[in-house]
Amino acid sequence: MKKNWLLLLFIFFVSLLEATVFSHLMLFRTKPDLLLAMVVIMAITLKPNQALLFSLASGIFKDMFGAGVFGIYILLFPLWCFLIIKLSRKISLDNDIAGIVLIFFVDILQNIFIRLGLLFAGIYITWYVFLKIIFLEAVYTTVMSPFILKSYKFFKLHIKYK
Amino acid sequence: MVFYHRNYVQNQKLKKEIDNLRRAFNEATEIYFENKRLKELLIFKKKSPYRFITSRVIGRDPDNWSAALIIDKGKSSGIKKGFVCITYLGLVGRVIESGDNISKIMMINDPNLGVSAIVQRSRQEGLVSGSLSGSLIMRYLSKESDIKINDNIVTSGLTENYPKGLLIGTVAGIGEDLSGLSRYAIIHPSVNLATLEEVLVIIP
Repeated sequence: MKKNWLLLLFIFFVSLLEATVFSHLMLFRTKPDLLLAMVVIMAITLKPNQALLFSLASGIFKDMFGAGVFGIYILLFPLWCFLIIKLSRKISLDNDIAGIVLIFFVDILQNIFIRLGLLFAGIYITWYVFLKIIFLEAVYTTVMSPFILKSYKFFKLHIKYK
Repeated sequence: MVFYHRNYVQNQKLKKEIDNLRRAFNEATEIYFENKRLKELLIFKKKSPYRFITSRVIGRDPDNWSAALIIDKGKSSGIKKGFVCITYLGLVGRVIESGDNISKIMMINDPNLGVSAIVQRSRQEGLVSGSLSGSLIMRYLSKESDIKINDNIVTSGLTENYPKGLLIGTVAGIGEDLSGLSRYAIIHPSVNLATLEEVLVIIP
């Protein structure tokens, strides 16, 4: 039980990092989606129920700090987690590199999804801004994901989380 | 040998001193810039007819699809949802959520936020909204609208809580809609929204 709370605290710390430190480390006004990287990593490494629960928590934290429609990440993060769990039964995702590549594609998919949502809400964003966000965010998140993966492994090793 | 040791110790001592001085210099530079910013805010606060709450930016929206700030003041300081947020340079955004000690501000470069605005020179009306990039878009300008590059854009006072005449930015470009029925203007915001550290919340 205590270990679950510690993992929740770790996710909260990652969301804080995203909202504070990475606001000053933007790449062409784009921030990495560290919580999405966490969701993908957890979907690969944790048991399905735990992964879904923690991806839901990640979604709550992301929506809590964000200014967009509340609930979008609460829906999206468990959805990606569920799809990755399904995918991991068909192909092996145990390799770290496979996980990192998956983060890149899931990030692109998520941004396309959000862009469609904005379009249906009548919010217009130029193609230049859309492509800039979609591509740079995916690259930035992928570049930062080994750091998240390493921190997560270090954390798991120290609290002996299974 | 004795001299070598004496010089070595002296060198280490001087290196430590340089590190300390460098740190002190950095801190002093940071304080100097903070002092400069706060002084400008104070001058503006004294001159302005509005009542303000000064607050510090403590976080930003983690999402790339919206633009928001988190400030260190909330309901306990009198900040409520809908209050307008500015700096001495111009409009920043609007309070969308207010907790006890923190508030969330949606910035003008967020596409979800629309502000009724006018061209200061010709009083031509339009709607300014964000584009998630460094610039804003002023829409619904008629084809015959009198608008030029470098014109100042200010709030019209028609949107709830926004006082009339707050500077939003200057016109950087003018274009025509795909339909050909209206024009739009690209606005360069007067406030650098990416580097905000302190903001003023207007109490209506």
